[in-house]
Amino acid sequence: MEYTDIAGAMRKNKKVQLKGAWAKEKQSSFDADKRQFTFWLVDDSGRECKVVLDGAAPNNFELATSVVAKGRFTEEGYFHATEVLTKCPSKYEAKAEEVKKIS
Amino acid sequence: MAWKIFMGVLLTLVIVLGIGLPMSPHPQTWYELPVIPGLEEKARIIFFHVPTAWLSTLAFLTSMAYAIQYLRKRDPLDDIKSSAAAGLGFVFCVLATLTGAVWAKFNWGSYWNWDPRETSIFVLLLIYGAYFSLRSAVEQEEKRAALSSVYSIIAAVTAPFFIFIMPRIMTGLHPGAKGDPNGAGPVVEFKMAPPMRVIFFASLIGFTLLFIWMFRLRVRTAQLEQAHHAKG
Repeated sequence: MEYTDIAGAMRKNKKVQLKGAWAKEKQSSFDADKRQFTFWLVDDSGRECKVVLDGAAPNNFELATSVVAKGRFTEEGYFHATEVLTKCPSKYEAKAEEVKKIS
Repeated sequence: MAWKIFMGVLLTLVIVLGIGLPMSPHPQTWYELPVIPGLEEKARIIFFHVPTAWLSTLAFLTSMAYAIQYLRKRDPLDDIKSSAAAGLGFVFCVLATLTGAVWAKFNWGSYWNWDPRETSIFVLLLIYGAYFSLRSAVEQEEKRAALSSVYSIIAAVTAPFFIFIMPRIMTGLHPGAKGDPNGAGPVVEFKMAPPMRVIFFASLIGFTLLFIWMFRLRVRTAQLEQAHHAKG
């Protein structure tokens, strides 16, 4: 499964790996009853879409420089993901401000 | 002999320091490694995973060099060397795949998701796997040596594409992929804290020496095996 953007994921009517980043300024939430995590994803072209993930947000989700959602677009217009992968920073240096923000 | 002791000490230091050095959000002393948010202890993979992949690349190129040598001089020893190097390259390619997959489980969230880097190393394993199928399929020694030499050269010509080009021009999760904020494309910006850098390069040197040692051992055992067979 290769990575695709929102436009590509909408075109394909099968399971894809949607790559982008978490749109942090938009509301994200966890629905405890349905056990679903909802967030907004912005792809490389700048387009945004709602992603509903079965389960909780993955580890490192807040720190991920980009995320990959595995799933497909539903008829309701959101991306239904069964799994979300996270990309970590690839810079092997400490950055004081970033560290402070987390702790 | 002395260089083997040096290698042993170097790799021991790399393992002990690479795993053992403390991590701190604000490194104060020379021996503290920085905490990288999102990576933390998992950052230590770079001391072992990258040198493993490097050894594999070096081995495949060595295999090609002796393959060229064989085709020029038809010396059976060059064929032994070429296949010994390809064997080591394959073993370390498998190790790079396994260490990467385990790390990916804990950092990306999945052992295997056909990231371009995962796809490319899989293709590389298939290419070099086929090399050994080819060798075991040809009985006649000279024919086997000539065919596998040609194959090794072709394989090594395609290898850089799968190691350095394809995973870097496609978007992916692996460092250096297209879209990586810290340097995408064929040239990766090298950003690493000084103490990590020392261990990293010590590891690269250690693994290079390890390759030379294992390569010589394999060549010698292959020669002994052949002499044994010749005697009947």
